[in-house]
Amino acid sequence: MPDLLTHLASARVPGAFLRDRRVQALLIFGSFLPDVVSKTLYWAAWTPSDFLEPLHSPLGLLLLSYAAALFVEESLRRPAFAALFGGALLHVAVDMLKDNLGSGSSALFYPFSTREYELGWIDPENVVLLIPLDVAVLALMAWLERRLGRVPQ
Amino acid sequence: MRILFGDRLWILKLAVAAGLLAALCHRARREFAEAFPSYRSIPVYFENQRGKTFYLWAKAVVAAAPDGFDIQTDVGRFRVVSPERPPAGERVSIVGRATGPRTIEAAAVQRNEGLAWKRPVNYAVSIGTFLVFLLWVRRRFRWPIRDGFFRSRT
Repeated sequence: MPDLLTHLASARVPGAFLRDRRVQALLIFGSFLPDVVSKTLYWAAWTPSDFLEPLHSPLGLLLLSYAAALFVEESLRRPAFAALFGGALLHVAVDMLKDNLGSGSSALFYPFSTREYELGWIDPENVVLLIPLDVAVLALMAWLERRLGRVPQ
Repeated sequence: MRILFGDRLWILKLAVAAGLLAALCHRARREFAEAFPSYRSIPVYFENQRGKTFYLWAKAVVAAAPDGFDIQTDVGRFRVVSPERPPAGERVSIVGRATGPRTIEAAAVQRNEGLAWKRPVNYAVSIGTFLVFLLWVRRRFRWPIRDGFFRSRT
């Protein structure tokens, strides 16, 4: 998994163009959701990793995002679901940049196929080397928000 | 859409979503175990696993061998047949075919240099990021326990 700072930086790019800070926060939370849920179950409940595969596939994340959106107030629930699901899909897209020797990080078409996909651009352990880049992206997005008057409400 | 996102039968909708997700995960456990069997099954069920492809993550190289190198796993040593010669002590990830009860013919070898510090840094940064996020988001949402919902402050 790339660290959550990388996922935060990737979610801040589309998030900077959202005016509603609550939706922005939910988009970021959505980008954390696959790892927060799967790592919690893996480490705290010793859940087998095969069981957790749908938490990095679109259909599983659709259900997870819907369940999470139900905890948000009714008036915000529909945009909350879109933000959570969008963030979760962004998470999968960022995970797909990793090189797991062709074994992939996401079964995009599960339950129709167990084939896992990846782009193989970066060694999974070297994602920590992206931290300076993440910080730069976060600073740039904060600056852009202010510069373009896009400071969300 | 109103049916899906309204407050009516809220707990039932949550139960259905959680149930469907649990069913999907339960099915995945069986299907992924069949599609991607664990290397741990090779020494025990070699005849069933012969020729299948396995992924071994971050195993310690313990010795060089004439045709490759040996790695240590939680089920004992494996010989990896490969033109790669990583030094003893290094961590490597491998994709390869089972050609013997404790032999894997590598299709690809990835050296996991610096794993001992990169992994803890990854987790530390992730946990720190999540905690900072929770503090930041706390200003946007509140948690009225009696309602069982997150409510925005605006």
